[in-house]
Amino acid sequence: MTTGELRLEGLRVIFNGGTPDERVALDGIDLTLAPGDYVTVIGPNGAGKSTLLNAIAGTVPAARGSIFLDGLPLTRSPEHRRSALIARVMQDPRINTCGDLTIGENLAFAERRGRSRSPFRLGRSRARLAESIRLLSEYGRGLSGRLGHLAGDLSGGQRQVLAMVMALANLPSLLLLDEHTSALDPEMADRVLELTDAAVRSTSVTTVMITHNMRQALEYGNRLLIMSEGRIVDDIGGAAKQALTEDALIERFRAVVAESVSDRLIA
Amino acid sequence: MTPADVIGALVDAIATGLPYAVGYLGIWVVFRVMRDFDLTVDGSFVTGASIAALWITSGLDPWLALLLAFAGGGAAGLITFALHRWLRLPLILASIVVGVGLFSVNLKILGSPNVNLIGQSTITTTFTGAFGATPYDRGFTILLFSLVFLLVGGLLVLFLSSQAGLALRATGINAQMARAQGVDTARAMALALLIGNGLVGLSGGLVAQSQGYSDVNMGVGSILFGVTSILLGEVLLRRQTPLWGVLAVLLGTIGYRFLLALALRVGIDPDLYQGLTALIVVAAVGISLIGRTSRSRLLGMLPGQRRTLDTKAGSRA
Repeated sequence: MTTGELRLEGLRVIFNGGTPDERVALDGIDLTLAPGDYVTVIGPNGAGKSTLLNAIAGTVPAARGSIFLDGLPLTRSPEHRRSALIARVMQDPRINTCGDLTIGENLAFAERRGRSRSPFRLGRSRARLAESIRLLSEYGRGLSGRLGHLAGDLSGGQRQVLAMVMALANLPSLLLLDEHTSALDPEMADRVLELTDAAVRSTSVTTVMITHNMRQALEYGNRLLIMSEGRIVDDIGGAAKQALTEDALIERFRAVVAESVSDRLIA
Repeated sequence: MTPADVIGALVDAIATGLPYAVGYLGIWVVFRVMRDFDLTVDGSFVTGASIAALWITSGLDPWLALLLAFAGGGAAGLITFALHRWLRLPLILASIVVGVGLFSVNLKILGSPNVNLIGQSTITTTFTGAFGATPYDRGFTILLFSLVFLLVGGLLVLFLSSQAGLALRATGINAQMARAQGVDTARAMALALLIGNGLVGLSGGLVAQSQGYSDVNMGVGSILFGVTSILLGEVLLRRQTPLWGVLAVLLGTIGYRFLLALALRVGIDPDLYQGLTALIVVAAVGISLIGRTSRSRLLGMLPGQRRTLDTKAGSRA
Protein backbone atom coordinates (compact mmCIF):
# COMPACT_ATOMS: atom_id res chain seq x y z
CA MET A 1 0.00 0.00 0.00
CA THR A 2 1.27 3.42 -0.84
CA THR A 3 1.73 5.93 1.92
CA GLY A 4 1.55 9.32 0.24
CA GLU A 5 4.79 11.03 1.20
CA LEU A 6 5.63 13.86 -1.20
CA ARG A 7 9.07 15.44 -1.33
CA LEU A 8 10.04 18.39 -3.50
CA GLU A 9 13.68 19.41 -3.66
CA GLY A 10 14.70 22.72 -5.22
CA LEU A 11 11.85 22.49 -7.72
CA ARG A 12 12.20 25.18 -10.35
CA VAL A 13 9.88 25.85 -13.29
CA ILE A 14 10.62 28.40 -15.98
CA PHE A 15 8.15 29.52 -18.64
CA ASN A 16 9.37 30.70 -22.06
CA GLY A 17 12.94 29.81 -21.12
CA GLY A 18 15.60 31.46 -23.29
CA THR A 19 13.21 34.07 -24.69
CA PRO A 20 12.72 37.72 -23.66
CA ASP A 21 9.45 36.60 -22.01
CA GLU A 22 11.25 34.23 -19.66
CA ARG A 23 9.51 33.97 -16.32
CA VAL A 24 10.44 31.98 -13.24
CA ALA A 25 7.15 30.43 -12.14
CA LEU A 26 8.57 28.27 -9.36
CA ASP A 27 11.74 29.49 -7.73
CA GLY A 28 13.27 26.53 -5.92
CA ILE A 29 10.51 24.89 -3.91
CA ASP A 30 11.54 22.65 -1.02
CA LEU A 31 8.60 20.90 0.55
CA THR A 32 7.90 17.65 2.31
CA LEU A 33 4.39 16.41 2.97
CA ALA A 34 3.86 13.65 5.47
CA PRO A 35 1.44 10.83 4.61
CA GLY A 36 -2.10 12.01 5.32
CA ASP A 37 -1.20 15.70 5.29
CA TYR A 38 -4.09 17.88 4.15
CA VAL A 39 -2.57 21.11 2.94
CA THR A 40 -4.34 24.25 1.81
CA VAL A 41 -2.46 26.71 -0.39
CA ILE A 42 -3.21 30.40 -0.78
CA GLY A 43 -1.39 33.21 -2.54
CA PRO A 44 -1.98 36.09 -4.92
CA ASN A 45 -2.54 35.54 -8.64
CA GLY A 46 0.62 34.48 -10.40
CA ALA A 47 2.19 33.20 -7.17
CA GLY A 48 2.76 29.79 -8.76
CA LYS A 49 0.07 27.79 -6.93
CA SER A 50 -1.32 26.09 -10.03
CA THR A 51 2.14 25.72 -11.51
CA LEU A 52 3.18 23.87 -8.37
CA LEU A 53 0.36 21.35 -8.82
CA ASN A 54 1.00 21.10 -12.56
CA ALA A 55 4.69 20.43 -11.98
CA ILE A 56 3.85 17.68 -9.49
CA ALA A 57 1.28 16.18 -11.89
CA GLY A 58 3.67 16.44 -14.84
CA THR A 59 1.77 18.80 -17.13
CA VAL A 60 4.63 21.32 -16.93
CA PRO A 61 8.26 20.18 -16.92
CA ALA A 62 10.64 20.96 -14.07
CA ALA A 63 13.69 22.98 -15.16
CA ARG A 64 15.57 21.90 -12.06
CA GLY A 65 14.97 20.03 -8.84
CA SER A 66 13.30 16.73 -8.03
CA ILE A 67 9.92 15.31 -7.14
CA PHE A 68 9.57 12.16 -5.07
CA LEU A 69 6.34 10.45 -4.15
CA ASP A 70 6.61 7.54 -1.73
CA GLY A 71 10.32 7.68 -2.43
CA LEU A 72 9.84 7.18 -6.18
CA PRO A 73 11.52 9.78 -8.39
CA LEU A 74 8.79 11.27 -10.58
CA THR A 75 10.64 14.23 -12.05
CA ARG A 76 11.24 12.65 -15.43
CA SER A 77 8.21 10.42 -15.62
CA PRO A 78 5.46 11.37 -18.10
CA GLU A 79 2.12 12.74 -16.98
CA HIS A 80 0.06 9.64 -17.70
CA ARG A 81 2.40 7.48 -15.66
CA ARG A 82 2.29 9.81 -12.67
CA SER A 83 -1.49 9.67 -12.86
CA ALA A 84 -1.26 6.15 -11.49
CA LEU A 85 -0.34 7.69 -8.14
CA ILE A 86 -1.77 11.20 -8.43
CA ALA A 87 -5.39 12.20 -8.94
CA ARG A 88 -6.46 15.77 -9.55
CA VAL A 89 -9.53 17.90 -9.85
CA MET A 90 -9.23 21.21 -11.62
CA GLN A 91 -11.43 24.27 -11.56
CA ASP A 92 -13.30 23.57 -14.80
CA PRO A 93 -15.71 20.59 -14.50
CA ARG A 94 -15.52 20.06 -18.27
CA ILE A 95 -11.82 19.29 -18.03
CA ASN A 96 -12.28 16.74 -15.24
CA THR A 97 -14.96 14.62 -16.90
CA CYS A 98 -15.88 13.42 -20.39
CA GLY A 99 -19.10 15.16 -21.39
CA ASP A 100 -19.85 12.73 -24.22
CA LEU A 101 -19.47 9.65 -22.03
CA THR A 102 -22.14 8.57 -19.57
CA ILE A 103 -21.72 8.96 -15.81
CA GLY A 104 -21.17 5.21 -15.53
CA GLU A 105 -18.53 5.25 -18.27
CA ASN A 106 -16.74 8.15 -16.59
CA LEU A 107 -16.65 6.21 -13.32
CA ALA A 108 -15.50 3.03 -15.04
CA PHE A 109 -12.81 4.99 -16.87
CA ALA A 110 -11.50 6.50 -13.63
CA GLU A 111 -11.62 3.16 -11.86
CA ARG A 112 -8.83 1.93 -14.17
CA ARG A 113 -6.51 4.84 -13.35
CA GLY A 114 -3.15 3.33 -12.49
CA ARG A 115 -4.27 -0.11 -13.66
CA SER A 116 -4.12 -1.92 -16.98
CA ARG A 117 -6.90 -1.31 -19.49
CA SER A 118 -7.71 -4.60 -21.15
CA PRO A 119 -9.25 -4.88 -24.63
CA PHE A 120 -10.90 -8.11 -23.47
CA ARG A 121 -12.83 -6.80 -20.48
CA LEU A 122 -15.94 -4.66 -20.67
CA GLY A 123 -15.30 -1.04 -19.74
CA ARG A 124 -18.46 -0.69 -17.71
CA SER A 125 -18.66 -3.20 -14.92
CA ARG A 126 -21.10 -2.37 -12.14
CA ALA A 127 -19.47 -4.79 -9.75
CA ARG A 128 -16.18 -2.91 -9.79
CA LEU A 129 -17.92 0.44 -9.41
CA ALA A 130 -19.71 -0.33 -6.14
CA GLU A 131 -17.59 2.05 -4.05
CA SER A 132 -17.83 4.89 -6.59
CA ILE A 133 -21.58 4.44 -6.84
CA ARG A 134 -21.89 4.54 -3.06
CA LEU A 135 -19.94 7.83 -2.90
CA LEU A 136 -21.98 9.21 -5.76
CA SER A 137 -25.27 8.41 -4.10
CA GLU A 138 -24.05 9.92 -0.83
CA TYR A 139 -22.98 13.26 -2.28
CA GLY A 140 -24.50 13.45 -5.72
CA ARG A 141 -28.18 13.41 -4.72
CA GLY A 142 -29.71 11.22 -7.37
CA LEU A 143 -26.65 11.00 -9.64
CA SER A 144 -26.15 7.33 -8.83
CA GLY A 145 -29.52 6.53 -10.39
CA ARG A 146 -28.51 8.21 -13.63
CA LEU A 147 -25.44 6.18 -14.59
CA GLY A 148 -26.64 5.93 -18.17
CA HIS A 149 -26.93 9.71 -18.63
CA LEU A 150 -24.26 11.74 -20.39
CA ALA A 151 -21.97 13.61 -18.02
CA GLY A 152 -22.33 16.62 -20.33
CA ASP A 153 -26.00 16.92 -19.35
CA LEU A 154 -25.12 17.53 -15.69
CA SER A 155 -24.82 20.95 -14.09
CA GLY A 156 -21.34 22.22 -13.31
CA GLY A 157 -21.72 21.36 -9.63
CA GLN A 158 -22.96 17.84 -10.27
CA ARG A 159 -20.16 17.34 -12.73
CA GLN A 160 -17.65 18.43 -10.11
CA VAL A 161 -19.10 15.95 -7.60
CA LEU A 162 -18.61 13.30 -10.26
CA ALA A 163 -15.02 14.50 -10.76
CA MET A 164 -14.32 14.19 -7.02
CA VAL A 165 -15.75 10.68 -6.93
CA MET A 166 -13.61 9.80 -9.97
CA ALA A 167 -10.49 11.20 -8.29
CA LEU A 168 -11.15 9.02 -5.24
CA ALA A 169 -11.72 5.85 -7.29
CA ASN A 170 -8.78 3.48 -7.02
CA LEU A 171 -7.43 5.59 -4.17
CA PRO A 172 -4.37 7.63 -5.22
CA SER A 173 -1.31 8.40 -3.10
CA LEU A 174 -1.78 12.10 -3.65
CA LEU A 175 -4.83 14.22 -4.41
CA LEU A 176 -4.35 17.63 -6.03
CA LEU A 177 -7.24 20.10 -5.98
CA ASP A 178 -6.86 23.32 -7.94
CA GLU A 179 -9.62 25.73 -6.87
CA HIS A 180 -12.01 22.91 -7.59
CA THR A 181 -15.02 24.75 -6.15
CA SER A 182 -14.39 28.28 -7.37
CA ALA A 183 -16.45 27.89 -10.58
CA LEU A 184 -19.50 26.70 -8.63
CA ASP A 185 -22.37 28.55 -6.98
CA PRO A 186 -21.97 28.85 -3.17
CA GLU A 187 -24.34 26.02 -2.33
CA MET A 188 -22.74 23.55 -4.75
CA ALA A 189 -19.28 24.74 -3.71
CA ASP A 190 -20.11 23.93 -0.09
CA ARG A 191 -21.39 20.51 -0.99
CA VAL A 192 -18.29 19.65 -3.02
CA LEU A 193 -16.08 20.91 -0.16
CA GLU A 194 -18.05 18.81 2.28
CA LEU A 195 -17.50 15.76 0.10
CA THR A 196 -13.82 16.61 -0.23
CA ASP A 197 -13.36 17.02 3.51
CA ALA A 198 -15.21 13.85 4.41
CA ALA A 199 -13.36 11.83 1.77
CA VAL A 200 -9.93 13.15 2.67
CA ARG A 201 -10.52 12.48 6.36
CA SER A 202 -11.88 8.99 5.87
CA THR A 203 -9.22 7.88 3.39
CA SER A 204 -6.29 9.86 4.86
CA VAL A 205 -5.08 10.52 1.31
CA THR A 206 -2.37 13.17 1.19
CA THR A 207 -4.07 16.23 -0.27
CA VAL A 208 -3.03 19.62 -1.59
CA MET A 209 -5.89 22.06 -2.10
CA ILE A 210 -5.48 25.46 -3.68
CA THR A 211 -8.12 27.97 -2.69
CA HIS A 212 -8.63 31.69 -3.06
CA ASN A 213 -10.83 31.70 0.01
CA MET A 214 -9.04 32.47 3.32
CA ARG A 215 -11.88 31.01 5.35
CA GLN A 216 -11.65 27.69 3.49
CA ALA A 217 -7.89 27.70 3.86
CA LEU A 218 -8.31 28.00 7.61
CA GLU A 219 -11.25 25.70 8.03
CA TYR A 220 -9.87 22.73 6.14
CA GLY A 221 -6.64 20.82 6.43
CA ASN A 222 -3.87 20.47 8.99
CA ARG A 223 -1.36 22.68 7.24
CA LEU A 224 -1.47 25.96 5.33
CA LEU A 225 1.03 27.27 2.80
CA ILE A 226 1.23 30.84 1.52
CA MET A 227 2.90 31.28 -1.86
CA SER A 228 4.19 34.40 -3.51
CA GLU A 229 6.44 35.00 -6.48
CA GLY A 230 7.06 31.30 -7.08
CA ARG A 231 8.10 30.57 -3.52
CA ILE A 232 6.54 29.23 -0.36
CA VAL A 233 6.73 32.24 1.96
CA ASP A 234 4.84 30.87 4.93
CA ASP A 235 4.12 27.39 6.25
CA ILE A 236 1.69 27.14 9.16
CA GLY A 237 0.94 23.72 10.60
CA GLY A 238 -0.39 21.90 13.62
CA ALA A 239 -1.45 23.89 16.65
CA ALA A 240 -0.39 27.19 15.08
CA LYS A 241 -2.89 26.65 12.27
CA GLN A 242 -5.64 25.63 14.64
CA ALA A 243 -5.11 28.75 16.73
CA LEU A 244 -5.10 31.01 13.67
CA THR A 245 -8.03 33.40 13.15
CA GLU A 246 -9.12 34.79 9.82
CA ASP A 247 -7.94 38.30 10.73
CA ALA A 248 -4.59 37.00 11.89
CA LEU A 249 -4.21 35.02 8.67
CA ILE A 250 -5.04 38.06 6.52
CA GLU A 251 -2.45 40.08 8.42
CA ARG A 252 0.16 37.38 8.07
CA PHE A 253 -0.70 36.99 4.38
CA ARG A 254 -0.26 40.72 3.74
CA ALA A 255 3.01 40.81 5.64
CA VAL A 256 4.71 37.87 3.92
CA VAL A 257 3.40 38.65 0.45
CA ALA A 258 4.44 42.32 0.68
CA GLU A 259 7.81 41.30 2.10
CA SER A 260 8.46 38.81 -0.65
CA VAL A 261 7.56 41.38 -3.28
CA SER A 262 9.84 44.02 -1.75
CA ASP A 263 12.63 41.41 -1.37
CA ARG A 264 12.41 40.86 -5.06
CA LEU A 265 12.49 44.57 -5.81
CA ILE A 266 15.63 45.07 -3.73
CA ALA A 267 17.37 42.03 -5.16
CA MET B 1 -38.75 6.01 -61.97
CA THR B 2 -40.53 2.72 -61.28
CA PRO B 3 -40.63 0.73 -58.01
CA ALA B 4 -38.35 -1.75 -59.75
CA ASP B 5 -35.80 1.04 -60.21
CA VAL B 6 -35.93 1.85 -56.50
CA ILE B 7 -35.58 -1.77 -55.41
CA GLY B 8 -32.87 -2.38 -57.96
CA ALA B 9 -31.00 0.68 -56.75
CA LEU B 10 -31.29 -0.50 -53.16
CA VAL B 11 -29.95 -3.96 -54.00
CA ASP B 12 -27.08 -2.35 -55.93
CA ALA B 13 -26.38 -0.08 -52.97
CA ILE B 14 -26.26 -2.96 -50.49
CA ALA B 15 -24.18 -5.22 -52.74
CA THR B 16 -21.60 -2.59 -53.63
CA GLY B 17 -21.78 -0.70 -50.33
CA LEU B 18 -21.01 -3.45 -47.82
CA PRO B 19 -17.32 -3.89 -48.75
CA TYR B 20 -16.86 -0.12 -48.51
CA ALA B 21 -18.77 0.12 -45.21
CA VAL B 22 -16.00 -1.91 -43.54
CA GLY B 23 -13.50 0.79 -44.55
CA TYR B 24 -15.81 3.62 -43.52
CA LEU B 25 -15.82 2.06 -40.05
CA GLY B 26 -12.09 2.70 -40.09
CA ILE B 27 -12.60 6.29 -41.19
CA TRP B 28 -15.22 6.65 -38.44
CA VAL B 29 -12.71 5.48 -35.80
CA VAL B 30 -10.40 8.42 -36.45
CA PHE B 31 -13.01 10.99 -37.55
CA ARG B 32 -15.57 10.35 -34.82
CA VAL B 33 -13.96 8.41 -32.01
CA MET B 34 -10.65 10.32 -32.07
CA ARG B 35 -12.18 13.48 -33.57
CA ASP B 36 -9.35 14.11 -35.97
CA PHE B 37 -8.82 14.01 -39.73
CA ASP B 38 -6.75 11.24 -41.28
CA LEU B 39 -6.23 11.44 -45.04
CA THR B 40 -3.95 8.40 -45.13
CA VAL B 41 -7.04 6.39 -46.06
CA ASP B 42 -7.03 7.40 -49.73
CA GLY B 43 -3.69 5.58 -49.96
CA SER B 44 -4.11 2.81 -47.39
CA PHE B 45 -7.29 1.65 -49.14
CA VAL B 46 -5.27 0.99 -52.30
CA THR B 47 -2.46 -0.58 -50.26
CA GLY B 48 -4.95 -3.15 -49.01
CA ALA B 49 -6.37 -3.70 -52.49
CA SER B 50 -2.88 -4.02 -54.01
CA ILE B 51 -1.63 -6.48 -51.43
CA ALA B 52 -4.78 -8.57 -51.90
CA ALA B 53 -4.39 -8.49 -55.69
CA LEU B 54 -0.71 -9.47 -55.54
CA TRP B 55 -1.48 -12.31 -53.12
CA ILE B 56 -4.43 -13.61 -55.12
CA THR B 57 -2.74 -13.43 -58.53
CA SER B 58 0.08 -15.43 -56.96
CA GLY B 59 -2.54 -18.13 -56.45
CA LEU B 60 -2.56 -17.86 -52.65
CA ASP B 61 -5.45 -17.94 -50.18
CA PRO B 62 -7.92 -15.06 -50.68
CA TRP B 63 -8.93 -14.99 -46.97
CA LEU B 64 -5.33 -14.65 -45.89
CA ALA B 65 -5.12 -11.83 -48.43
CA LEU B 66 -7.63 -9.92 -46.30
CA LEU B 67 -5.50 -10.24 -43.18
CA LEU B 68 -2.49 -8.98 -45.11
CA ALA B 69 -4.57 -6.12 -46.50
CA PHE B 70 -5.47 -5.17 -42.92
CA ALA B 71 -1.81 -5.34 -41.91
CA GLY B 72 -0.72 -3.23 -44.89
CA GLY B 73 -3.29 -0.55 -44.19
CA GLY B 74 -2.45 -0.58 -40.49
CA ALA B 75 1.25 -0.17 -41.25
CA ALA B 76 0.44 2.90 -43.34
CA GLY B 77 -1.51 4.30 -40.39
CA LEU B 78 1.47 3.77 -38.11
CA ILE B 79 3.74 5.67 -40.54
CA THR B 80 1.29 8.57 -40.37
CA PHE B 81 1.39 8.32 -36.59
CA ALA B 82 5.18 8.41 -36.60
CA LEU B 83 5.24 11.63 -38.64
CA HIS B 84 2.56 13.11 -36.41
CA ARG B 85 4.33 12.18 -33.21
CA TRP B 86 7.99 12.62 -33.90
CA LEU B 87 8.02 15.30 -36.60
CA ARG B 88 5.16 17.01 -34.77
CA LEU B 89 3.16 17.49 -37.94
CA PRO B 90 -0.58 18.01 -37.46
CA LEU B 91 -2.32 14.70 -38.20
CA ILE B 92 -4.02 16.02 -41.32
CA LEU B 93 -0.69 17.14 -42.81
CA ALA B 94 1.17 13.98 -41.80
CA SER B 95 -1.57 11.90 -43.41
CA ILE B 96 -1.47 13.88 -46.66
CA VAL B 97 2.27 13.27 -46.90
CA VAL B 98 1.88 9.54 -46.30
CA GLY B 99 -1.09 9.36 -48.69
CA VAL B 100 0.96 10.90 -51.47
CA GLY B 101 3.92 8.62 -50.81
CA LEU B 102 1.73 5.55 -50.73
CA PHE B 103 0.75 6.09 -54.36
CA SER B 104 4.22 4.99 -55.47
CA VAL B 105 4.32 2.16 -52.98
CA ASN B 106 0.94 0.91 -54.18
CA LEU B 107 2.03 1.12 -57.83
CA LYS B 108 5.12 -0.96 -57.01
CA ILE B 109 3.03 -3.57 -55.18
CA LEU B 110 0.49 -3.79 -58.02
CA GLY B 111 3.22 -3.77 -60.67
CA SER B 112 0.93 -1.99 -63.14
CA PRO B 113 -1.79 0.66 -62.82
CA ASN B 114 -4.44 -2.03 -62.63
CA VAL B 115 -4.63 -5.75 -62.10
CA ASN B 116 -7.50 -8.00 -63.12
CA LEU B 117 -8.67 -10.71 -60.72
CA ILE B 118 -11.22 -12.32 -63.04
CA GLY B 119 -10.71 -16.09 -63.13
CA GLN B 120 -8.71 -16.07 -59.88
CA SER B 121 -9.85 -17.70 -56.68
CA THR B 122 -11.32 -14.90 -54.54
CA ILE B 123 -13.48 -14.93 -51.41
CA THR B 124 -16.48 -14.32 -53.70
CA THR B 125 -15.76 -17.34 -55.91
CA THR B 126 -14.94 -19.65 -52.99
CA PHE B 127 -18.01 -18.56 -51.00
CA THR B 128 -20.53 -18.70 -53.85
CA GLY B 129 -18.85 -21.86 -55.15
CA ALA B 130 -19.45 -23.53 -51.79
CA PHE B 131 -23.18 -23.08 -52.42
CA GLY B 132 -22.93 -24.08 -56.06
CA ALA B 133 -23.79 -20.58 -57.21
CA THR B 134 -21.99 -18.36 -59.73
CA PRO B 135 -19.67 -15.58 -58.49
CA TYR B 136 -22.18 -13.08 -59.88
CA ASP B 137 -25.04 -14.31 -57.69
CA ARG B 138 -26.29 -11.18 -55.92
CA GLY B 139 -27.91 -12.96 -52.99
CA PHE B 140 -24.80 -14.91 -52.01
CA THR B 141 -22.41 -11.99 -52.47
CA ILE B 142 -24.66 -9.83 -50.26
CA LEU B 143 -24.74 -12.63 -47.68
CA LEU B 144 -20.95 -12.96 -47.79
CA PHE B 145 -20.22 -9.27 -47.29
CA SER B 146 -22.99 -8.93 -44.67
CA LEU B 147 -21.28 -11.64 -42.65
CA VAL B 148 -17.93 -9.90 -43.03
CA PHE B 149 -19.41 -6.58 -41.93
CA LEU B 150 -21.20 -8.22 -39.01
CA LEU B 151 -17.94 -9.80 -37.86
CA VAL B 152 -15.83 -6.66 -38.23
CA GLY B 153 -18.50 -4.28 -36.89
CA GLY B 154 -19.23 -6.59 -33.98
CA LEU B 155 -15.56 -6.83 -33.02
CA LEU B 156 -15.22 -3.05 -33.27
CA VAL B 157 -18.24 -2.47 -30.99
CA LEU B 158 -16.86 -4.97 -28.47
CA PHE B 159 -13.44 -3.37 -28.56
CA LEU B 160 -14.81 0.16 -28.10
CA SER B 161 -16.88 -1.07 -25.14
CA SER B 162 -13.82 -2.60 -23.45
CA GLN B 163 -11.57 -0.94 -20.92
CA ALA B 164 -9.03 -0.20 -23.65
CA GLY B 165 -11.74 1.05 -26.01
CA LEU B 166 -13.11 3.36 -23.34
CA ALA B 167 -9.62 4.85 -23.01
CA LEU B 168 -9.61 5.47 -26.77
CA ARG B 169 -12.99 7.19 -26.69
CA ALA B 170 -12.08 9.29 -23.67
CA THR B 171 -8.89 10.39 -25.45
CA GLY B 172 -10.93 11.59 -28.42
CA ILE B 173 -13.37 13.48 -26.22
CA ASN B 174 -10.97 14.98 -23.70
CA ALA B 175 -7.29 14.13 -24.09
CA GLN B 176 -6.27 16.24 -21.12
CA MET B 177 -8.58 14.32 -18.84
CA ALA B 178 -7.53 11.00 -20.35
CA ARG B 179 -3.89 11.70 -19.46
CA ALA B 180 -4.94 12.69 -15.94
CA GLN B 181 -6.61 9.28 -15.68
CA GLY B 182 -3.41 7.54 -16.74
CA VAL B 183 -3.99 7.04 -20.46
CA ASP B 184 -0.98 7.31 -22.76
CA THR B 185 -2.85 9.42 -25.32
CA ALA B 186 -0.11 9.10 -27.93
CA ARG B 187 -0.41 5.34 -27.78
CA ALA B 188 -4.19 5.67 -28.03
CA MET B 189 -3.80 7.69 -31.23
CA ALA B 190 -1.35 5.13 -32.63
CA LEU B 191 -3.85 2.37 -31.91
CA ALA B 192 -6.68 4.33 -33.52
CA LEU B 193 -4.64 4.95 -36.68
CA LEU B 194 -3.59 1.30 -36.77
CA ILE B 195 -7.16 0.05 -36.44
CA GLY B 196 -8.63 2.77 -38.66
CA ASN B 197 -6.25 2.26 -41.57
CA GLY B 198 -6.23 -1.48 -41.00
CA LEU B 199 -9.98 -1.54 -41.59
CA VAL B 200 -9.57 0.73 -44.62
CA GLY B 201 -6.91 -1.64 -46.01
CA LEU B 202 -9.16 -4.61 -45.31
CA SER B 203 -11.94 -2.80 -47.15
CA GLY B 204 -9.59 -2.30 -50.11
CA GLY B 205 -8.99 -6.05 -50.15
CA LEU B 206 -12.74 -6.72 -50.01
CA VAL B 207 -13.57 -4.23 -52.76
CA ALA B 208 -10.84 -5.59 -55.04
CA GLN B 209 -12.23 -9.11 -54.61
CA SER B 210 -15.86 -8.07 -55.05
CA GLN B 211 -15.14 -5.98 -58.15
CA GLY B 212 -12.60 -8.38 -59.58
CA TYR B 213 -9.80 -5.86 -60.06
CA SER B 214 -7.41 -3.50 -58.28
CA ASP B 215 -6.64 -0.05 -59.62
CA VAL B 216 -4.00 2.32 -58.30
CA ASN B 217 -6.54 5.15 -58.36
CA MET B 218 -9.38 3.30 -56.67
CA GLY B 219 -8.80 5.07 -53.34
CA VAL B 220 -9.22 8.62 -54.60
CA GLY B 221 -11.87 10.41 -52.57
CA SER B 222 -12.22 7.65 -49.93
CA ILE B 223 -12.10 10.13 -47.07
CA LEU B 224 -14.81 12.27 -48.63
CA PHE B 225 -17.09 9.34 -49.46
CA GLY B 226 -16.50 7.92 -45.97
CA VAL B 227 -17.27 11.17 -44.20
CA THR B 228 -20.34 11.70 -46.41
CA SER B 229 -21.62 8.26 -45.45
CA ILE B 230 -20.96 8.91 -41.75
CA LEU B 231 -22.74 12.27 -41.81
CA LEU B 232 -25.67 10.78 -43.71
CA GLY B 233 -25.94 7.88 -41.27
CA GLU B 234 -25.88 10.22 -38.31
CA VAL B 235 -28.85 12.11 -39.71
CA LEU B 236 -30.78 8.89 -39.11
CA LEU B 237 -29.02 7.53 -36.01
CA ARG B 238 -27.80 10.25 -33.73
CA ARG B 239 -26.84 8.51 -30.52
CA GLN B 240 -23.10 8.39 -30.06
CA THR B 241 -22.45 4.99 -28.61
CA PRO B 242 -20.20 2.42 -30.30
CA LEU B 243 -23.15 0.28 -31.44
CA TRP B 244 -25.19 3.16 -32.81
CA GLY B 245 -22.11 4.65 -34.43
CA VAL B 246 -21.34 1.41 -36.29
CA LEU B 247 -24.97 1.09 -37.38
CA ALA B 248 -24.94 4.71 -38.54
CA VAL B 249 -21.90 3.98 -40.71
CA LEU B 250 -23.65 0.98 -42.27
CA LEU B 251 -26.89 2.84 -42.87
CA GLY B 252 -25.10 5.92 -44.18
CA THR B 253 -22.94 3.91 -46.58
CA ILE B 254 -25.94 2.13 -48.05
CA GLY B 255 -28.00 5.32 -48.07
CA TYR B 256 -25.31 7.25 -49.89
CA ARG B 257 -24.77 4.55 -52.48
CA PHE B 258 -28.53 4.18 -52.85
CA LEU B 259 -28.80 7.84 -53.83
CA LEU B 260 -25.96 7.39 -56.33
CA ALA B 261 -27.48 4.16 -57.74
CA LEU B 262 -30.83 5.87 -58.05
CA ALA B 263 -29.19 8.73 -59.89
CA LEU B 264 -27.59 6.22 -62.26
CA ARG B 265 -30.91 4.45 -62.91
CA VAL B 266 -32.81 7.62 -63.63
CA GLY B 267 -30.06 8.57 -66.05
CA ILE B 268 -28.31 11.48 -64.34
CA ASP B 269 -25.07 12.34 -66.11
CA PRO B 270 -22.24 10.52 -64.23
CA ASP B 271 -20.15 13.67 -64.61
CA LEU B 272 -22.44 15.18 -61.98
CA TYR B 273 -21.76 12.51 -59.33
CA GLN B 274 -19.08 14.47 -57.48
CA GLY B 275 -21.42 17.44 -57.36
CA LEU B 276 -24.16 15.16 -56.02
CA THR B 277 -21.81 13.97 -53.28
CA ALA B 278 -21.08 17.55 -52.29
CA LEU B 279 -24.82 18.26 -52.19
CA ILE B 280 -25.41 15.23 -49.95
CA VAL B 281 -22.75 16.45 -47.50
CA VAL B 282 -24.33 19.91 -47.40
CA ALA B 283 -27.82 18.45 -47.00
CA ALA B 284 -26.74 16.02 -44.25
CA VAL B 285 -25.05 18.77 -42.26
CA GLY B 286 -28.01 21.07 -42.86
CA ILE B 287 -30.58 18.52 -41.71
CA SER B 288 -28.55 17.63 -38.65
CA LEU B 289 -28.36 21.36 -37.80
CA ILE B 290 -32.13 21.76 -37.85
CA GLY B 291 -32.90 18.86 -35.55
CA ARG B 292 -30.28 19.46 -32.90
CA THR B 293 -31.20 20.08 -29.33
CA SER B 294 -27.65 21.11 -28.57
CA ARG B 295 -25.03 22.75 -30.71
CA SER B 296 -22.26 20.64 -29.36
CA ARG B 297 -22.81 17.57 -31.51
CA LEU B 298 -22.61 19.40 -34.79
CA LEU B 299 -19.55 21.21 -33.60
CA GLY B 300 -18.13 17.77 -32.94
CA MET B 301 -17.84 17.47 -36.70
CA LEU B 302 -15.03 19.98 -36.59
CA PRO B 303 -12.35 18.23 -34.57
CA GLY B 304 -10.50 20.46 -32.16
CA GLN B 305 -13.08 23.20 -32.01
CA ARG B 306 -15.57 21.36 -29.94
CA ARG B 307 -14.11 21.88 -26.51
CA THR B 308 -13.83 25.64 -26.72
CA LEU B 309 -17.38 26.05 -27.97
CA ASP B 310 -19.05 23.57 -25.63
CA THR B 311 -20.23 25.98 -22.97
CA LYS B 312 -23.14 23.95 -21.70
CA ALA B 313 -21.86 22.83 -18.36
CA GLY B 314 -19.72 25.87 -17.69
CA SER B 315 -22.35 28.56 -18.06
CA ARG B 316 -24.70 26.83 -15.67
CA ALA B 317 -21.99 26.40 -13.06
